Amino acid sequence: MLYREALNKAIDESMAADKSVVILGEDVGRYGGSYRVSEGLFAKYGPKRVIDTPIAELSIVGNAIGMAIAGLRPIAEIMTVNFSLLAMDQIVNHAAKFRYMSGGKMTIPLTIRMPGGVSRQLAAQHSESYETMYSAVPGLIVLAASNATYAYHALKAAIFLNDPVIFLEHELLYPMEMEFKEIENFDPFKAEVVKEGEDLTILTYLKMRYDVLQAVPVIEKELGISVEVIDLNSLRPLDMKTISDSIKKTKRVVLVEEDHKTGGYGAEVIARISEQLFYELDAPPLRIAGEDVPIPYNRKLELASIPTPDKIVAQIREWSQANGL
Amino acid sequence: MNSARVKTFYYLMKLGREFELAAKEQYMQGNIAGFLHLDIGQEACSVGTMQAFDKGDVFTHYREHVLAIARGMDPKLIMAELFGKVTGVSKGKGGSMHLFEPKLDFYGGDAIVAGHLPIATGCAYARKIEGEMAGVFAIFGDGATNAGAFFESLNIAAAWKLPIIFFCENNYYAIGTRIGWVSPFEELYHKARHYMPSKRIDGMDVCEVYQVVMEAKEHIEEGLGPYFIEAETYRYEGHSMSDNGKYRSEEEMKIFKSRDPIENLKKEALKLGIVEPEYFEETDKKVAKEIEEAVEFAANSPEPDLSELYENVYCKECTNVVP
Amino acid sequence: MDYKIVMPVLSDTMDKGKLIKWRVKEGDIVHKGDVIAEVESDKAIMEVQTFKDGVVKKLLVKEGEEVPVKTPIAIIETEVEAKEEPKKEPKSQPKKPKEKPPQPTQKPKEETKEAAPAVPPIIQELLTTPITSIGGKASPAAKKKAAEAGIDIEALQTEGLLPKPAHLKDVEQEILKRYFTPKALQLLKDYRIDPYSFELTHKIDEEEVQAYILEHDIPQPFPLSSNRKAVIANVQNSAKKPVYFVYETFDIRPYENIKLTSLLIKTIADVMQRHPLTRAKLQGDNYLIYPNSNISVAVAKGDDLYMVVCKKAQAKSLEQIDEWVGGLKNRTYTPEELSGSTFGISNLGMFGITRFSAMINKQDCGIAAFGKLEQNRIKVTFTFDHRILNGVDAAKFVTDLKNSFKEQSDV
Repeated sequence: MLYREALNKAIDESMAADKSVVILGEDVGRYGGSYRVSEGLFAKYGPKRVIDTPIAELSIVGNAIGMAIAGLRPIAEIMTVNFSLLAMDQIVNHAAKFRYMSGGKMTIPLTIRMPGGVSRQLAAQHSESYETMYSAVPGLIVLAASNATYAYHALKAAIFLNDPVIFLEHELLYPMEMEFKEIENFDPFKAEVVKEGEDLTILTYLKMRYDVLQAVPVIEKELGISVEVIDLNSLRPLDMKTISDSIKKTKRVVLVEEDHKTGGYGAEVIARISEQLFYELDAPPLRIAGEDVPIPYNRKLELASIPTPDKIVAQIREWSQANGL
Repeated sequence: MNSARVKTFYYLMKLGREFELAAKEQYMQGNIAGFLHLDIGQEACSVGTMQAFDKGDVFTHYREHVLAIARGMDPKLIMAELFGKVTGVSKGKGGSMHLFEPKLDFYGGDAIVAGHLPIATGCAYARKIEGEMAGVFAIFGDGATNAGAFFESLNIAAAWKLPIIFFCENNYYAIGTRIGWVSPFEELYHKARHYMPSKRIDGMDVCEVYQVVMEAKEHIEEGLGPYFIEAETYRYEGHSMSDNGKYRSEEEMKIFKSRDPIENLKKEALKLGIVEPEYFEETDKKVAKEIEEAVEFAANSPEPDLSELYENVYCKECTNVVP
Repeated sequence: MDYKIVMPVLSDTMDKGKLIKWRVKEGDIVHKGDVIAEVESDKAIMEVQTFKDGVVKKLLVKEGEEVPVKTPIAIIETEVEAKEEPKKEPKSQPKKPKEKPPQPTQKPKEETKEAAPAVPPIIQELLTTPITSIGGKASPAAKKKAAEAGIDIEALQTEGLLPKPAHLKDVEQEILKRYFTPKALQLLKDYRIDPYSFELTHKIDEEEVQAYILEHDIPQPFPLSSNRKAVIANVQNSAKKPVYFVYETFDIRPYENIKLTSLLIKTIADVMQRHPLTRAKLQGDNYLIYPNSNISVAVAKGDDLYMVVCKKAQAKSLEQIDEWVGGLKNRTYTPEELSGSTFGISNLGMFGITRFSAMINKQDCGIAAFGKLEQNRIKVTFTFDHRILNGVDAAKFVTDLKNSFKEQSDV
């Protein structure tokens, strides 16, 4: 199943199951979604529930909050995470805080879907990863879907959660053919151990999962070690249990993220590991992250600005030599 | 105007003003903290609108104590909220600027200027597709009409013919900035009139406010789309407690105080003989007692327990997994 | 009663205020809302009102004086209540503002303290061990281990006995060196025993480990060779086949200077030419019948067992086969030599075994197991795959073979 089809299936089934589920955003209706995620939904559910909005992100999210207050379960689609900054006030100051500042009286069952990350030469204003910002906001749930199975189950769960959820997708994943499995009692807040290993834990999420999985066989062969790979899935809350179990076993951790290194999401994860698992560590943690530059247009520069399988191998090699692995 | 309605107007406006005065006093004594924005002088807008718009959803800015009282919120619960007590309407977690009561369809003090307008618009959309034409009432100040969220909301509400009343309290000042310095005109209904029927009214006259909101209500209920009202009004106090309001002239203040909504209603009612003089005396006493009780209730209420710190960040289901 | 006017709190950041100007003097009558003073906050000059009617009884602060917020600056005597309960009220009323002031600067601190998560047990545990006293440059996990075992990383690093920085494996090695003799360590390794099963209080020698092994009945792991793994896979697969056995005794007269195995291979190869199914493999819906007699021969080499294939055996002379058999023990085999057979033989006669049965090799249709040659007679057990040879086919083949050997011995 294509990744985008898994998302479509989740939305379609949710809309069929519950009339209060609506989707709104730029081009979600008649056009079918800029990444074809909402394809076919307009014809099926009509303009009242599949809502074409103006290019006004602040209002897309603001309107969705109002709909949620009125009892609907809106799914707001923001064309890319870069544009969500226009809606930041609505997401952070309103959606995330209403429950708390009303002493628990308000409930905002809202899902905000948006793709982020580096695609192919979309340049600085269409290539960012802002999970670090959203993960820092109490009141928000932040999920990052790297694969069809998680995307389907987690999106369905998000739609029916009674809190605002930032649902992160990745532009390069939409057309990817992936394995798909239906799972009962799926827990969207749990990290996935993608591959078990003994000597090194690699934490990652979203598209970097695939870069890591390409790098791992090379690392294992070259260093003669076995690597455990964990896809974090849920960024807020963070599944520290799975992380901790793994690090207690391997004693070493590397985090791979596409986000910029400074203040990136990985910084938080590594900080928690340092606080909670310091005495388990046999080497300083390593972050392999995007460079601290706006994403460039030129393909060579673009690839130089983010981790690639080759760079992951090279950095782990260098790190292992310096740290006695 | 019938006698009963005038009495209600007077009672609620007086209750509102005395509430604000008590809040001011308590703030100065250190019992209320943070930002406190008083509605003194603008009571006709708060009371007139809420009396007319008695169904539907209300989305408001942060100068909302009197609006909440007029909507039916117990002054005790508001005062307790101002005191930061657990008995407050938002359990002491919201304070003066964030009074929420879904039971009254009152969605509260939003402290981001114009931030609540897209939300009100979205709510109106949901109500419309549900066939609930009582619609939505959104109240905001002159400052909000310069923000992008304001124009986005006018555009969407008009494009989709949503049942929503936009009610602008034009008191001419956004903190210390006169509206005319930052807007091409001071009559703000011009900003909306290409989108929807728009009117400028005397916001110091509770009867006029009431009547125009009634008209607007009929308009949205008939499915004719949104309606814009600009009410000229004036706050006697500074923007918040730390503002002395000295950017305004004594002369200007005197003119508006001569149009005081409470005093003028009383004068007019006595002149027309529709309300007996004793009513005012009795009401004043009753109000004083109610406010005294509210302060007492707030003062004697307990502080929230420390365990409240992590309560209400997420729903029950999510609380179990966060952080 | 007395109504105290305090230096007002006029902003969220105001700690003290300066009395700029009094607008009233003692003895003045004031009404609710009247401005009585001007004070300067951190943000602006503000007016102070009275919220009660009365007479100004006392001004407590001079113009120009700066006092903390909530300090009383004036007392207003309110007429009505002054008459009633003159004693009780003044006591409780003025107290209130003093009692109540919440201390906004302190509260958040308390909250964070109480809400801070408890120290994780592991760290708690470590705080009580002398980990901080452990110097040297090492990873946290290495230091933790060193602390548990009482290893002085710094001293060892000074002596050059530990690398800098030291990692877990370095410290673990050090611990082992310290508490185990080399021979004891070798035993631990051989038996895969966790060194920490021992109490590390003294140097542990081979005997102590040996005693531990006996007491706990610890088996020695014996890693499977790749040949062993291949044999296991082969026989497991073989055990799944529908087989049956045929028991016979052949008359055989061995040739001088020719190994018995060579004679067996040659004779079977020739007979196989007359029985196509013995040269067959089963593949899907087909028998693949090979033209040559390719016979797999069980060869034991050390601990390993190989089924080496004698290809085109019917075309080879007895001497050629004998030469081939003679060379088997002292060389390695190519993968081609270990595949391509359809029938096998196994001979345990040299060990004195009189009769046994054998497992069919790979895709072979059968195998002949030869026992010890006694007075020119040999007991042989055939194992056949029923999918390829029925009883009748097998009977014809075995009889033919029996007669061939008989003819040879009669000659």
